[in-house]
Amino acid sequence: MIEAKELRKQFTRQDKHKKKTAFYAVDGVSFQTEPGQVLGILGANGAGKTTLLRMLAGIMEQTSGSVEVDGQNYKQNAIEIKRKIGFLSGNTKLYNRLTPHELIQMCGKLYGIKRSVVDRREQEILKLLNLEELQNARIGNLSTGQTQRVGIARLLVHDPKYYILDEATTGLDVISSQIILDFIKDEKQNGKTILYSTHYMEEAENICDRVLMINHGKVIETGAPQRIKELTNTTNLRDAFFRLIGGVSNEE
Amino acid sequence: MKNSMVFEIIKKEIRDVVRDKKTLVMMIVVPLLLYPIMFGFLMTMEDSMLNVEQSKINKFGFAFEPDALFGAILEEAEIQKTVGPEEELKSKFENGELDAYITLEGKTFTIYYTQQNTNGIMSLRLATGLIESYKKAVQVQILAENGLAPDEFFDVYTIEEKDVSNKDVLTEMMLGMIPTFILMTATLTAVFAAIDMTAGEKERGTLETLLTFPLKNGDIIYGKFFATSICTVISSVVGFVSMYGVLYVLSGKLDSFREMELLTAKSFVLALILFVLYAMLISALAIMIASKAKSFKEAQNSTQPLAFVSLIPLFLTMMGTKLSASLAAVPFINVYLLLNDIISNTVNMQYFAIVAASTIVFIFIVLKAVTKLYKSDKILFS
Repeated sequence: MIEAKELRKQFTRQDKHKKKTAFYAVDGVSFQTEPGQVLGILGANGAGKTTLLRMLAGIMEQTSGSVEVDGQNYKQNAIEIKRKIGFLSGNTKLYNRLTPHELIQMCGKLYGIKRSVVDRREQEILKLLNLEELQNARIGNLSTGQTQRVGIARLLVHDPKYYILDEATTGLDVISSQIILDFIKDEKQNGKTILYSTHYMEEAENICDRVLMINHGKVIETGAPQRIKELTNTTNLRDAFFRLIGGVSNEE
Repeated sequence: MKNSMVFEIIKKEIRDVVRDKKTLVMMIVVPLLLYPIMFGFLMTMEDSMLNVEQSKINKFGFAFEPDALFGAILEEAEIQKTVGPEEELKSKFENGELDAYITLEGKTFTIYYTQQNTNGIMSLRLATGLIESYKKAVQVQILAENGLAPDEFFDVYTIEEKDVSNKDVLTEMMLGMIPTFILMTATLTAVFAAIDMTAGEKERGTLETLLTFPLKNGDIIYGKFFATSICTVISSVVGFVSMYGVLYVLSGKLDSFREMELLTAKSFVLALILFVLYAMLISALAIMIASKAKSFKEAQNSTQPLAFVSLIPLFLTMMGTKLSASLAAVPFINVYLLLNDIISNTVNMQYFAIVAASTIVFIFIVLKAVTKLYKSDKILFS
């Protein structure tokens, strides 16, 4: 189980007069994941989703609060926790000068998996994602959809217990997005826990068991999509979100 | 820090770098071809300049009729004299028909020559010598006419010149250029590779990917550091071997370099050790500076001073600075001065030890600072 307790992250920003002001990108966020469920982190751009997920994945340190993964925290055992997590975001790009085969082998070794196991898993993954014929092509020469599949292959190498996917479908076409969404559904069926951030409310409504709506770094509502719709007396999560933030989005 | 993880990072980085054409050109092609060609060209130029036969410079114009005494001196020196008005001589000089021309106003000789080529400087020397000879001959004649012995006035003292240096200046100058080329090659390669592995990785969005792996900051930093160092050592050794190869081949063919003392086996090994140390030093610094940059371009700008810093020791050498125990502890300068000593086979092993120790300490300090940098959100996510 991933558990966030009163998680905060402070940054400073500079105005045009070069005056620095501190602000919380994530402000007192607490939640727990349930095994085999997809937890959607919903919010507009700049709401604090990426910062929150980076802290959960252990690639950014929180200012205060704590993250526990199966009862362990990053300060005590970051390496062990990271072995349980597969992190994919719009910002986690692949090495264009490597081939899918080289990438998978490298990931396996970096996750401390035995060579024989990596070799076996590589064959399974390449077959599963229909990448066998592309395994020796440079990633930089692949199409967006093919690259997306290689990105998923990278995640599958170490068979993580938890997936953290940050805006993974942002900027992708319908077909490439569907690859990610199908992957989420499959892994959910495999009993994996998935944290999925997006600003596409419809997408979240379709695949999330629970959602955590955040605005200005704070949780504004949490629960099953149906429950939130009933609570806000709306028919979809988009309307629910606007009702919760008082009808004004961050972008405005 | 876990060795197997560091090794994986090194493998990944080197694979990534060698597949980038720009870095590969900077790392291999430039030191293998460009610098040796430049070096060989300089050697050939120097040799041809020194071998210009002075007898070929003998066409002088005179805007006055030399008297019998001056005429005899010119004849003895096998000078082809052209006598005529100044304008005509000037025109002939500009057309290359004369090496120089001389005018006489009252008691002042004026020599017209050009510094744009080495022949011009030789012409000046020759013309000055001829006029000096003529001046002395006239003085002797005047003294003799007045019943005075010229020897009592001239040649009271004689001057003898003896060159006590071990090697000739030209050889030393050419040998002294090798460290400059090598250290510049090393610096440029380290900077290129370090930028690609830090700011380049950030720009390509793969740094965040790397951070998701179960790695310690030290694994990432040391992996990048060793990968940069390996690229830099390869580049330095390729440059050194190819430049020294050019020197070796040309020293057998060019007269001016025939007496050149070539590198001993001991000096060669010491040079290689020094390349490794310098590669590590410059790689650590380049990684530190490039890590702070938000983009490839910003990293290129911020690492520019490194190229200039690596030239500072060159100026010191030009000023005649020699390696001492205290200078051996100063990073950059010590490596350069020591390399000069190694190439001229005059290395002091005590200084070598000080240089090695101070460089290693400096590298560790820089790497410690970089590891600290990699904990900062500003560096990683800016």
